[in-house]
Amino acid sequence: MLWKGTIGMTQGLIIKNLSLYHKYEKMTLVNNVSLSIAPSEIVAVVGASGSGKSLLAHSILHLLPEEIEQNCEMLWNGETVNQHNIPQLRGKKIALIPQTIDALDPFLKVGKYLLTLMKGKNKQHRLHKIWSSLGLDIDWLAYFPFELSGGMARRVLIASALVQNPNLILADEPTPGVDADTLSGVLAPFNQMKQEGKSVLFITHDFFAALKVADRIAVMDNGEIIEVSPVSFFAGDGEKLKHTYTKALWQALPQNCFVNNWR
Amino acid sequence: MLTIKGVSYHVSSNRCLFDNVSLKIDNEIVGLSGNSGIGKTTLAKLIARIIPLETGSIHVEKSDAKSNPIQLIWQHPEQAVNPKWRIKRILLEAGEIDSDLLKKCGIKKDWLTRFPHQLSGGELQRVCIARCLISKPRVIIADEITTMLDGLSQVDIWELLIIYVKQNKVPMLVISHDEALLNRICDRMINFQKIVDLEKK
Repeated sequence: MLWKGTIGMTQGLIIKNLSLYHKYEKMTLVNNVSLSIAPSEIVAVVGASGSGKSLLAHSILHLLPEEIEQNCEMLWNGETVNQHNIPQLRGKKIALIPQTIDALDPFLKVGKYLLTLMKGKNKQHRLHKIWSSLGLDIDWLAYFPFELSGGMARRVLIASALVQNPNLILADEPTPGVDADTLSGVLAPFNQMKQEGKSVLFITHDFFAALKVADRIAVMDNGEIIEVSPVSFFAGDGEKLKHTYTKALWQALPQNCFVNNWR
Repeated sequence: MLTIKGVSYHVSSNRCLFDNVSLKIDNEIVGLSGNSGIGKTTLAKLIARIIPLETGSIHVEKSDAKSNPIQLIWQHPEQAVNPKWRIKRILLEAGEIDSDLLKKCGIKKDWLTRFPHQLSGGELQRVCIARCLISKPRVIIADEITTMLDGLSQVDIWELLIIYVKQNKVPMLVISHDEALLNRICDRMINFQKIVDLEKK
């Protein structure tokens, strides 16, 4: 049951019955999605591309374009979140790790851009700390976004969320293009957040990255969450997994059978 | 066959990314791995002549194709399409649209009338892969092309590309950090770090 874990939960984020409808295309994009993220919890979301994973992250922050109609009840630490009070949370309590480097300012060196996102004292010092914790070279702060390699860009995007010191990070595919050596460094801040009582919604295609940090994995298909299972279920041939789609997705990985049993 | 001889790249006059790199790829699938930032994508762009060559040469079998015989599929599909064009026009640029191929790439008909920003990252990548195959390339360079796709789509896309390269005897260079994937699909693997270090010695 999706709802079981949320009974009595007052802290963290609760999404109830999220539906997204495209007004012009007359199409339901996300249907009746409910999900909760407790403090000190990392919830991964996996699923087909176009199944609505990024839409889920953007709808939490009310960042969707006008043509998409959003219906849901959302609670943050017990208080209703809507488009009127989201500006007080966005970039402060809840931060997004965007999927593409298009989100960076093309005309600002990345170090300078990250400082614009920060508040409070000792900005430079805090930035350097986060920057080197991600395994980034201090010289790279002077790079423009176009000078970054794919793997560097991912880590800069992660830094862009961390510098805002949020309680919840919505990470929209933060790991593609990151090599195996850097991966543990990239995932370390998420573990750190968990220890500090903060939470992460980890949208990814990389099951193995998800298994390293997440507590639960939600599987999306066609705009719906079809299964939420603890990470321990994702093992072997996936015999503990409930849904046949989840099983097929698991078995398709190159580490497993690398076949498409879903066709 | 693809032959790369003595290719170098300087980021600025005093910063060299790699120097004098040579590679030979027969009609095989070769995996290229190495840490981020060491120049894998830059090498891919040099091979596909998206960045002009400073030194060295690149040879590929002659072809009568209209478009570039060396097709690079980019890591970030949103950077590889014209944002003002609809998907149909993006595909038509490469040649005639084969509806059977679109089906195999998992491209739905109603995407054709959309703009790139109306597709998800993974959906747009399928469009880029279809565009590559439509142009009937003689060499394919795949730069981290399936990291934004789910496992099932990944299987479909690689199956499609492998059938194309084997049937048409086309060399394919696959850049990826996913060792498990490279082990599955490649005939042999190269660690970019090693060939760069070799040249430095």
